[in-house]
Amino acid sequence: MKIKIILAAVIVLAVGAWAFSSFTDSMTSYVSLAEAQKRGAKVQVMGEIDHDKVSYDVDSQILVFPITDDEGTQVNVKFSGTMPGNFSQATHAVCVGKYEQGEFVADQLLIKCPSKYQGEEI
Amino acid sequence: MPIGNSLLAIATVTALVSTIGYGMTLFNRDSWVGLARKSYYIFATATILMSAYLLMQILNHNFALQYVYEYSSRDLGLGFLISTFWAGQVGSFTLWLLFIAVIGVFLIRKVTENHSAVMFFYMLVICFFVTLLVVRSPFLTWPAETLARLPGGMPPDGQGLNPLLQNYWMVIHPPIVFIGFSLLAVPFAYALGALAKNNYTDWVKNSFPWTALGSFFLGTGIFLGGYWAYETLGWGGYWAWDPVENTSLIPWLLNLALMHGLLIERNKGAFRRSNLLLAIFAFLLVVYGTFLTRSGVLADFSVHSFTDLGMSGYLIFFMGFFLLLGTGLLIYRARTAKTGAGIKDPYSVDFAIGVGIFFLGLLSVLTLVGTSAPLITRVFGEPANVSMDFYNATALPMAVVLALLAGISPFLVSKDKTLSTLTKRLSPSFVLAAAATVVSFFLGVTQFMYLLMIFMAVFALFGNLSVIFLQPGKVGLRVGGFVTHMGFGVMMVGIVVSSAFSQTEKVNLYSGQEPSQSFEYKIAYKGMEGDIMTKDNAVHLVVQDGHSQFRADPKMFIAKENQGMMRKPFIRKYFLYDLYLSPQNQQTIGDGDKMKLARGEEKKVGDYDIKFSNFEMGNHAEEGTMQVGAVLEVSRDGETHEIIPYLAFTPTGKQFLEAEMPDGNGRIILKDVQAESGSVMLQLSGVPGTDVLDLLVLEVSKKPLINLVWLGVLMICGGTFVSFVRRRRLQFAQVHR
Repeated sequence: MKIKIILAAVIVLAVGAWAFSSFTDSMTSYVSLAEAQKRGAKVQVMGEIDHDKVSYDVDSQILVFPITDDEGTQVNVKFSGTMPGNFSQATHAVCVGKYEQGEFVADQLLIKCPSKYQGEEI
Repeated sequence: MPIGNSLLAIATVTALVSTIGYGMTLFNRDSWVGLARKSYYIFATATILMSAYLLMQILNHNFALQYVYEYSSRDLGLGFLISTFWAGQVGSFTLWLLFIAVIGVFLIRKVTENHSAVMFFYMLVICFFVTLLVVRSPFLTWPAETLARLPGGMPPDGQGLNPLLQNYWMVIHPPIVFIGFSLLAVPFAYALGALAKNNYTDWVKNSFPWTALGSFFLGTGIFLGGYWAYETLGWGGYWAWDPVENTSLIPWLLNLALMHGLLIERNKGAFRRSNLLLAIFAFLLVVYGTFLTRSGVLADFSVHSFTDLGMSGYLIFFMGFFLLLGTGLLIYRARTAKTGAGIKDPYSVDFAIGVGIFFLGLLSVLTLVGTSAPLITRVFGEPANVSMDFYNATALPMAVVLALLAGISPFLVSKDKTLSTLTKRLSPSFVLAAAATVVSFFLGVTQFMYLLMIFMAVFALFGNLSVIFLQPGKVGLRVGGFVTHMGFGVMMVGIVVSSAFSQTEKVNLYSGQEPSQSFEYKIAYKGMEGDIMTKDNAVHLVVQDGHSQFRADPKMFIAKENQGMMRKPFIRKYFLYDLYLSPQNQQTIGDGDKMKLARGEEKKVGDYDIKFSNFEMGNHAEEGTMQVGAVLEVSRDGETHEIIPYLAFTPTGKQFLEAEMPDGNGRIILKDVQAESGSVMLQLSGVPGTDVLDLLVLEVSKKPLINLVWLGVLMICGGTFVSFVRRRRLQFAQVHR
């Protein structure tokens, strides 16, 4: 009986340690743009899209657009990949990536649209 | 008072009366049972009628109801119209309550040992849902003064169903998940009833069939959701470890663990307390999942989280309430519920099952921690999210262990087992698994974890297969478990191979041009059916795969409802892989046929130089009409000609007097004049060199062995259903013995 408990405890600890390291490795903190610039590590940021300054290169499929967060910091986001379908209607973008050489290189984009599914008034 | 809310009121009152009635029996006031039962039947009838009434309002397009207005519209077909019933939060809670009420009818008719106590706890669950509907009724109408302003007394049309949900899978997926969730309330009630009465004699046999049926429905629901994602979302995957997915996966895993635990409690009289714990937590995690996904706490982290409708407080309250109730009762009875029996023999099937339960629980906890990451990290500082890597890294080792156990356990059942007979019986599946692993290695699987997973999965597959074939006639309905375990192996092979060896590339295709090569395919783009704003707009592709040629029509359009890009991939199934064509983007390239020129400015279009030299004011205008012309100098090969297109402003609108190009190739139209900047907008029609290119960005993927995922899934669901049938018969057999 004792051996079983020890064995179970060892497995839980081993799995726990393994899980904890995967957890911290894959964790992306949700920070302000200023903080993202300071850290240079993989983080998650959110800001309002400035639609007047969006550029998209068709051949290389690189999307560049500036976002401004609540604190007023503005940063250019660079995203390689297909422009999300609802991008032009989006107000805000959540970007996961790193701040590198003057721009935020996103490898994941989450687009926030003004949802009409929020009890709009008639 | 409107019918809908009256029915809701009746359901609320009778649910409360029934709860109180069954509650009184806990204090030995057994005379209350009659009232409680009658109230339940009235409650169930009112709930069914209320749901039918809501459905009627949807079918009759009663847009005076906010819920109907927000989620449906007149242009929906019958199937989608019905599905708007559960498209929104309030409606999905109504559906959920309906299922719980109907399941309760079966529960109430089967009088078992702790019947009244079980019904009391079941009623508490019902009160939870009734409260949510009272907080936000599906029958909420627009204010009377708003409606009075509108012609016809209601909005002319609704806002429509989210286009992503306009898919047949989405018509059946949510109800099946909700049936699964609802079924989990039954073992929960049996567990609490047994704890309250401190009587555990028949809780296992009574909750077993419900647990099996819950696993079947929840599992099927989860898999349908995955297939829907693969078939309609066009991102190429079927599982994203999104909070909405995870919060249905965790209760399912715990429920599977419970099924196995009940097996041991039944056979060996052990594991009672962990079973009670699993039954309670499987349901608690349904409530927790509802909180996570419906309160808006994860709004920054999930694409499909619902927004808060002011229910967060209630959800937190109920979560805390059920948690305290469940764990409180369990701790209170910890001593008396103890079975004393243990599993001594480490080579017994029960021991293997025990280890399996342990790892299923561990996998649930890890998934739970990942899903709750934004909440957990918020406690320590800034909220953070974990990526899919976390889940993949932790779930794969768990799956390896589970497959190993699934492969060994069928051989541990026999009475005559010794280490040598066991080795002999395990060797065929071991050899086949090793062979499959070696083959995979030479086909290019090099990561250790993947090879290990393939080995264990094939081991589980053949182990269970051989048991079925080596004991013909003796397996009977026990085949359900074996098929489920085989399915798990098949699914894991499919998951590993399709995710590790999926190949994807993007190609740029121009309409009407030569086909482009992608993998062994030649793909030509033949334009789109309608324009991008047309619903279900098809993209015409012609694909050549060496010996044959076929049309592929994936869909891509911007939905009017939410202005989002909808993509429906085209999937061609081959024996060994799926070809997955997903349109990503379509745009027109080139300046097009419009140009803006300031006075004196010159621009080059094709072989022409066009210069806007001056305005010419028309002098032969009719009364009330003003006419203006743009003097253009068009040069080609050193020859210059002057042409003047005119624009007339008449009382009825603009009139365009186009000018033909000097060489007769096309025309120029003066579209607009900007007096303050002194510039003109010109449209060139049919002028050589102004053609626009229609570009389609297409994602081409090859997904090897992905069909094994679906095959495995079907086997898991089918096997679980057979297990349910078996447990139902066993329960039935004992009652009437």
